[in-house]
Amino acid sequence: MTTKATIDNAVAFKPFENSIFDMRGLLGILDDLTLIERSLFRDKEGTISSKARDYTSSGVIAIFEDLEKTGIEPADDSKQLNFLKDLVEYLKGLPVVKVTLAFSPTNTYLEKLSNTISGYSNKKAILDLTIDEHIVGGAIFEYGGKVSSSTLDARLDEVLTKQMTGAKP
Amino acid sequence: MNLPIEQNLISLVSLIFSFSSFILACLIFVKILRSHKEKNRELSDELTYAVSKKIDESVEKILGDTLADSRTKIDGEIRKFSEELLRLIHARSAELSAYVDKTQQDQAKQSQFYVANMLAKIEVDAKDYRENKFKEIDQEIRQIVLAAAREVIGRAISLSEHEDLVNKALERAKRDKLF
Repeated sequence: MTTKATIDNAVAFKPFENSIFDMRGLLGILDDLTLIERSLFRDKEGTISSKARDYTSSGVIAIFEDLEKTGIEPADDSKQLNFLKDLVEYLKGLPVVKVTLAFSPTNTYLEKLSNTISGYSNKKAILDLTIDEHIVGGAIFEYGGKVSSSTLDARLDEVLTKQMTGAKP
Repeated sequence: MNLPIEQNLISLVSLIFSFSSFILACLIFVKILRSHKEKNRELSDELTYAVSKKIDESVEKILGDTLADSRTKIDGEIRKFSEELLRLIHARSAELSAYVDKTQQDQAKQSQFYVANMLAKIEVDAKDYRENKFKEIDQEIRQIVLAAAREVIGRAISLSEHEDLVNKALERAKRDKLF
């Protein structure tokens, strides 16, 4: 029973996970879920989407509606509440990769970057994005206590050092 | 036993006479005694004067001799003391002169040593200062060039070029086994 519930949750959480790419998206969906969780038992019956519609109109309602169509979503209030709590904990536990860029990326590129990193690590990764023009170009990635830096600023510094010390770049 | 009156009278007169003679003799004796006493006093005064004069003369002579002797002795002591004092002053002066000479030599050596040390320190400080200044200037030039390069390159890079650079950085992170 527990195993089945875990599998069902893993399947049910996937659409939420796939809708998030960076910390901003994660914090937004966590806010929505907290709001829905608070509104579940206010003399309402039915699915989560029907209970939450009066409190939020965000994209998370659409995800719940899709879940309800597949029949994965729990039916009674207590299970719905547990489902929401588990979902919040799951999303909070997703791995975070810190990314420093020199420019503001488009949402499309951000999604692509998140998916590529998730593919490399074989698990969903949330991007904690920082924009720093001083790196000029390229990116700095930090994950699991390790750092990989490939920036034009570092390359410029390297070339300039060699030029100033008289060595060939 | 009954004497005639004449006899008694004669006896009485004789007695009175005897008594008067006695009184007279006493008076004469007293007179003589007084006279002798005055004479003795005059003799005593003369003797006292003479003795006093003799004593004064003796004292003057003794004092004169003693004073002359003492003066001679004191003069001698003063001369000896002056000579000793002069000798000591000369000795001290020589010591002081030697001390001053030695101190001057020591100070000269110390000054030379101090100047030499200061010179070496100043040379080292000047070298450090020069090197630090060169480093600072290098750093400033480097910062200026970097800032200019950042500005120029940052503006020159298009969005797609930025994305390409990030993709390359991501590939490198993968090669570095970051994920």
